Amino acid sequence: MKYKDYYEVLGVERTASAEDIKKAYRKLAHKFHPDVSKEKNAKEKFQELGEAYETLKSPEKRAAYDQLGSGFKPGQDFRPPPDWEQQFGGGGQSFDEADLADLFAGLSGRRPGGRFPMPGQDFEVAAPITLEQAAHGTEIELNLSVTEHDAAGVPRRVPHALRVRVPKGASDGQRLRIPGKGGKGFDGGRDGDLYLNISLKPHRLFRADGHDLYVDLPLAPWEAVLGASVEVPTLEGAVRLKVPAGTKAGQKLRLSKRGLPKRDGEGDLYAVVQIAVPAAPTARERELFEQLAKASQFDPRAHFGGSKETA
Amino acid sequence: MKIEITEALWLDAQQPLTLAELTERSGLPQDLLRQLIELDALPATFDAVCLEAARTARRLHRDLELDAGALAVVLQLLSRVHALEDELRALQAQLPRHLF
Repeated sequence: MKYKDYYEVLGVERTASAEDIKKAYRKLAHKFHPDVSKEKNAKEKFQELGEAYETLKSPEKRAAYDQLGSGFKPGQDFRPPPDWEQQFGGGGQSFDEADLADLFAGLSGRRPGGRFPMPGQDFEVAAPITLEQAAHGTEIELNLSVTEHDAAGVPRRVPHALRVRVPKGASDGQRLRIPGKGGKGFDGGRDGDLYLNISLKPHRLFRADGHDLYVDLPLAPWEAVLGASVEVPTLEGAVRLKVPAGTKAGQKLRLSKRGLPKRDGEGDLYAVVQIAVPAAPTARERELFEQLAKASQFDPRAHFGGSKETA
Repeated sequence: MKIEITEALWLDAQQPLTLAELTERSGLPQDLLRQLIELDALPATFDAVCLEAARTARRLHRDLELDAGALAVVLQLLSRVHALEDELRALQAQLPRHLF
């Protein structure tokens, strides 16, 4: 079993009072609560905090934890003292695969007044998928670590692999529920559910807003002026798009139903026009642009209202 | 290690939930759930949107010991944050890539 330093996690001395422990937890919990925190690793950090506080806030659990002594380093393997085995109703169990948190949770599991059903814990799992996976549906493999109890009630962590089919039509922020695949219920309580939080990984070309996709469409100045027929990439391969004459930068050209599929229909794909210029024009190109500059009456800044002389 | 394939269910606005289901799935005590709905901190829609907010409320209630009044403020602010994040994402999607 791996040792965890709960005092270090909360940033308090081993001699800290119950009040100090509560204060330290409160302060850190506000900072790292995953529902409100923008800190990196908020979820992991908050889990550690909760585990530490759960053990240290209860005088009995804290006493049991303190019995372990302070001679271990976090992550170091250690064997719990022999009387722990008695706590779990017998001798000879192996605590090798047990998690410290589960053991302490087990200590409070001995509830006076009999047993009553306890629902299993709900699991929340982040599931980043690609745009292509969202468009076609996908299967993702989850490797969870779940707590199981043996006949003597000794908890241990077991790996649990799960393949989940994500139907096509998911978008960023979509949540999926997998009933009964969370933590096991106790004494007849229902099993918890597994919740998947879908996020879309950034794509080389496309940006998603809901089920609509956006792609940059660079045009040469003459394509924008004269109109053109250009190839635009979509998730299902390139398609031809007719760019009308007089297209401006920033205009969005809609390719209907070329976005992400929804459960009822499809989103759209928008090609966002940019005017691209050659970084190093050839002598001939330069000459032609100079001719155009001389011949053109076009004033792109007419709406500024200033006179041409001072422009 | 056994591998099983499981179908995931959509969690969205189209499935109505009963108060009992909402209570069970959110884990929120029913009187607190009622209070939050009365305070307009949870949508009275009894659907997955409401469930999501109720689950958030439950975590905040359990982990930070917030009461109904504090939960109502946090939930309303979180809902605004999420709306702003959605709007930001929408605007960023429309901006040419070199601009951000």
